[in-house]
Formats: sequence, C-alpha cells, structure tokens
Amino acid sequence: MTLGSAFQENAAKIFGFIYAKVGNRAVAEDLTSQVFLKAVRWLAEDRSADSIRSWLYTTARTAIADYWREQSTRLQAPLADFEELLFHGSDGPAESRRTREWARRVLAALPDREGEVLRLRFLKGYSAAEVGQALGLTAGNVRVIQVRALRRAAAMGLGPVIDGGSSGEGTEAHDEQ
Amino acid sequence: MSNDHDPAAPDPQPPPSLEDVVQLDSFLDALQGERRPERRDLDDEELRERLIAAQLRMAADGVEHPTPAFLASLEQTIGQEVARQGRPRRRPLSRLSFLRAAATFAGGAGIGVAGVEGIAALRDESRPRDLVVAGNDRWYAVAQADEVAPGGAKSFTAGGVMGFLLNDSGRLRAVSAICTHMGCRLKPDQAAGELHCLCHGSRFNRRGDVLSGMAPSPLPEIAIRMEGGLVYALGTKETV
Repeated sequence: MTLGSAFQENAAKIFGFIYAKVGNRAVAEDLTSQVFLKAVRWLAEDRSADSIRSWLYTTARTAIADYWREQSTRLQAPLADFEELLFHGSDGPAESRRTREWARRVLAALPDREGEVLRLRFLKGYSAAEVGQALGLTAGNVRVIQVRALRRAAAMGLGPVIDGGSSGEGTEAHDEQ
Repeated sequence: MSNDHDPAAPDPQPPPSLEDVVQLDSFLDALQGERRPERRDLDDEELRERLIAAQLRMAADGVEHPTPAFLASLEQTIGQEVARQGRPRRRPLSRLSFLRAAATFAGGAGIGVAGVEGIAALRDESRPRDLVVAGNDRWYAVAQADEVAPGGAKSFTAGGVMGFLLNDSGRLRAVSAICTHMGCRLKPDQAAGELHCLCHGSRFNRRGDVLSGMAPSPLPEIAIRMEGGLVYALGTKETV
C-alpha cells in the first residue's frame, strides 16, 4: 500500500483518535502531523494496509502519552494509572467512538449540579461566566464546581460508568466501527 | 438527570485551592478555543483532571473532524518530506528520467490531494524510487506575477528543471519543457496556443496534454506558488 492511499484512508481517523485524547484542535494537528511524518520514514519499505494502520495507531498512542507527560513541567514519575485514564482498550479505530460513549455516560452520571455545569461547558461551549449566568451562580462558584466534577469523573475512571460493576477491561469486547 | 446514586468516590473531597480552580478554568478555555493549553507545574491530581476534561470534549458531536485545510497542508508537507528523504541510491539518472521525476514530484507536491499520490505512484513502480532526487528541491523565482498574458507562455529554468509558465485563461500553471517522447526541448507555438517538439513533431496543449505525435504521456506539471508579486517554481538545486 502506498503512503498516499494510507493517508487518505487514515488521516481523518487518526486525527479523531488523537483529538479524543487531547481535546483541542491545535494539539491534535501537531500530533497528527508528527505521526504522519514519522510514517514517511517508516514507509520506506512496502507495508500492507493492515500493518500501516496498526503502526499509525500505535504511534499516535505513544505521541498522545508523551504529550500528556510533557504537560506537567514537574519532574516526577508519571501517573501510575496513566494509560488507564487515557485509553479504553488497545483497539485504535474504535477508540474515538468509545470515548464519546464514555463522555456522555460520565456527563449523565455526575450529580445534578456538577453534571449541569460540565454539560453547559462541554456541549454548549459556555465559559464559566456564561454557565454562571445560566444557572444563577457566580463564575467563581462554577469554577469550583467544575474542578469537583472533574475530580469525581477522574475517580470514576474510564470503565463503564452507570451500568456499573465491571471494570474497564470489559470494554475490549466492543466491536469495531 | 439520573443522579440518585453517586457512582464514585471520595466525597467530601478536599477543597481545591484557588490556584487550581483558576488554572483548570483556563485549561478548559484553551480546549474550547481549540488552542494548545499551557504547560504547568501539575501534580498527579491536576493532570488527571485534565486528561479527563480533554476526553469529555468528545461528548459533543463532530468535534474530532479535522479541517480540510489541515489535511491538505499536511498532505503537502508529507509529499515534500517523502521527496526530501528518498535519496538516490542505485544508479545515476539520465537527464530525461530525472527531469521527468523531478517535474512529476513538483507537480504533485503543489496540488494538494495529488501530492502524496504522485509520489506514492512513483515509489510503487520498480525503478522510479531512485528517480526522486531528493534534498535538492527548492523554489525559484521565475517570473513576475503579471508577466505572462492570457494565452502566453514563458520558458524558465528552475535549477535542473526546465519548464514553461503558461497563462491558461487567467490561471497560471507550469509544465515541463521536455518532450515525453525522446527528451527534446519543446518550443511554444504562441499563435496556436500549443507547445510543440521540433524533433518529431509532437504537440501539447497548455495543460500539457498530448494533442498529436508520438509522445506517450502528458507533460508533468511543475508546482508553482505566488509570493510578493513573483511566481516561484519548484525545481532542483542544480542541473544533473
């Protein structure tokens, strides 16, 4: 398979995969470019479509993990549960969809006020001040609530949220898109 | 919504510091603005919050689709990178095959989607990989932007690449000036708006398509760009 057709087939999906894990366009563009430029070197030899795809996802995954490690300027051992908080499973192509399902479950599972704040922030794109106006709170209140909400969500982890019980491992069974 | 149960964890939580609160808010603002968040001195907890926040953006539909402009520019970058890295290894090139390859590369790289495909096609054939003489491409100023009138043609040399800059009803394009039949230099026939080969009579239109004669393929296009009132063509560092 050629780099050209590999690009056409995978570029938008790899971008989506990365976006799902970094949450903004600028970084997703940086990392997507990084992955494909590495691919240029790697693709000096001919590879099958499957092996290209799996290489792209593996490389994207590493780029994402490195990005997050570098987000803190503090020199420290990385989070022990780092990968568990970042990836639902090892299957790249299905990861964006899983992240979306997970995100919606989390927003629905949070206690009322916290859920409401994050829904306005993430689904409507409101600023803290705008969320405050909508809910009759001060912007300061909203900022505190969103920290609490995110901590609670982090404590839930990436496993199934509402339908409870099983741990994150079970998500591996999802079929590919 | 369905919040009878509280599925997780430490409640009451320790209250977040004012600094955490403000910094996390500006992190969320960066995500919403699709900007790179600033790096900070974060502890594990703060990093966790951000990992989670980033992924919660996926709750909204369609946020993860790349812009066409980004994809087009990345594809072009990759095309350049492929050419830069693929060094000639096996044998020295004939002038003709080199020019053809260089011009094919140049045409591809300048045209978005065609970019990587053009190169990929080259790499797939048995010999051409060593045709892409790389690390040598560079832009050459070849004309003033308004120098070539509609219907007109100007010959140029961009390092080792010889081409014609053509004005096709107001649209500038550049094609190789070398006949694809035996490698003779083409001449413009201004009256007919064509390029023709003095060696064996092949004729090409101003898009490089073969009109008549023995030429087996169209003229490769050469990438051009405009900047500061000048037209630049993508050529190679030196004559081979």
